[in-house]
Amino acid sequence: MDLLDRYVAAVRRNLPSGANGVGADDIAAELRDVLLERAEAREEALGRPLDTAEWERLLVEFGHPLVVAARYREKQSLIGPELYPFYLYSLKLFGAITALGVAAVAIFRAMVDPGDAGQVAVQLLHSIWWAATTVVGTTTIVFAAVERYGGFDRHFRNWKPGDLPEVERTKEPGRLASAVEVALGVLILLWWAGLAHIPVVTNANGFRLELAPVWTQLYWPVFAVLALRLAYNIVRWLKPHWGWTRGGLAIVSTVGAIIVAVLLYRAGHWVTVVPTGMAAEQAGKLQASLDLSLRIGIVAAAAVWLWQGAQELWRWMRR
Amino acid sequence: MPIEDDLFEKLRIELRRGSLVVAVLGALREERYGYTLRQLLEDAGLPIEESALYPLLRRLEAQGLLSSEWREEGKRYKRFYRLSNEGGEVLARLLGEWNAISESILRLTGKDA
Repeated sequence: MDLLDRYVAAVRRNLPSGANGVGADDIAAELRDVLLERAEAREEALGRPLDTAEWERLLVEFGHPLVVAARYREKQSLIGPELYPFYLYSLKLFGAITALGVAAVAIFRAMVDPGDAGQVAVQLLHSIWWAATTVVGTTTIVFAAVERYGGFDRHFRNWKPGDLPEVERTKEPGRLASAVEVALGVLILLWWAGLAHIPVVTNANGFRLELAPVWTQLYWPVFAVLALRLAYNIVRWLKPHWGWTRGGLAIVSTVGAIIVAVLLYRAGHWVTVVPTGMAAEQAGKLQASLDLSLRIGIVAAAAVWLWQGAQELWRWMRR
Repeated sequence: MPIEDDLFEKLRIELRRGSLVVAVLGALREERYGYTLRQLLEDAGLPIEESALYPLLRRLEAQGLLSSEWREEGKRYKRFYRLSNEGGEVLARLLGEWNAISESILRLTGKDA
């Protein structure tokens, strides 16, 4: 009987407040009666009182106290099946917007923050974690409130077909264009593999350009990004229906490209103008002009890749 | 359990879920307490777990479809349930719906199910 008392007390403790307008004591009393009735039926069949193990078995069969108590709840789910598709869509939409915002801020900070790259990466992961938790938590709380209190669901029901977005015509490149991209990718990768350690030299107009050490330091990251992009182009060319692989490669290569762009930007110096006849002052001006152009170029490239990555992520999430 | 059986079980439970309310309301045209109600349902081929039956009874009572009272039976006090007037009206409508669904299914399946 001690087990029965403990079981009934555990159920009673976890009953929803109000329990459909009927008191918890009333439910507990009925539950006790049901269990006693079941026990008596077994005792009658056995011809003796139930022992502790048999009582335990009986209570386990009846169900965990939390499950039994939860059945008295009016709502059995946090977000019901009617609202769930809207919840999932909102989660994806807000998730994508937040990911874009966090990525943009992180890239900006990583570019301007002179601190240690590892520390910046840790801060980025921290921001992503908190942003993801906040988006999922807030969206879930809002939809749980809508499910519980209603009212807003009219917004979801009263929709107009005319408000639906236009059909997106995705511009898929032809097989020839894809093949050309693959060929170019192979050429670039070969060029990078063969020329990475050789400085670019030009003797035009009395100066030559030498690549800064950052290019050597980033040899393998750049190689990896080029290889991933080549893999993406090959999949798009030969196996365009491999959606998951294609999307995954696109996202990973874009993220890699952005990271390389950030690391490049942080280096602050990409080429050195070495005068071979040109006046030092003129060479200095050329150096400053080149630095500014490359700085703008890297930022623009990172912004474009970020936008492309966001689009790819959105397509991927909608699958 | 093979996947087909698992799927069938899920579909079967889904199919039975709605019909249990009709069965409970129908069985409570005569006053019963939980244990005897469950036995009756089981004997009729509609077994239901007690941990699901009692919350269902409470819900139907809160919705005004059942009425209940504690009364002594044998050695103990038990809660007896009975269909309310409103419950009777709802049951009649649900049975009408049930028959219409049944006829539709038979028509659609060529009565060979």
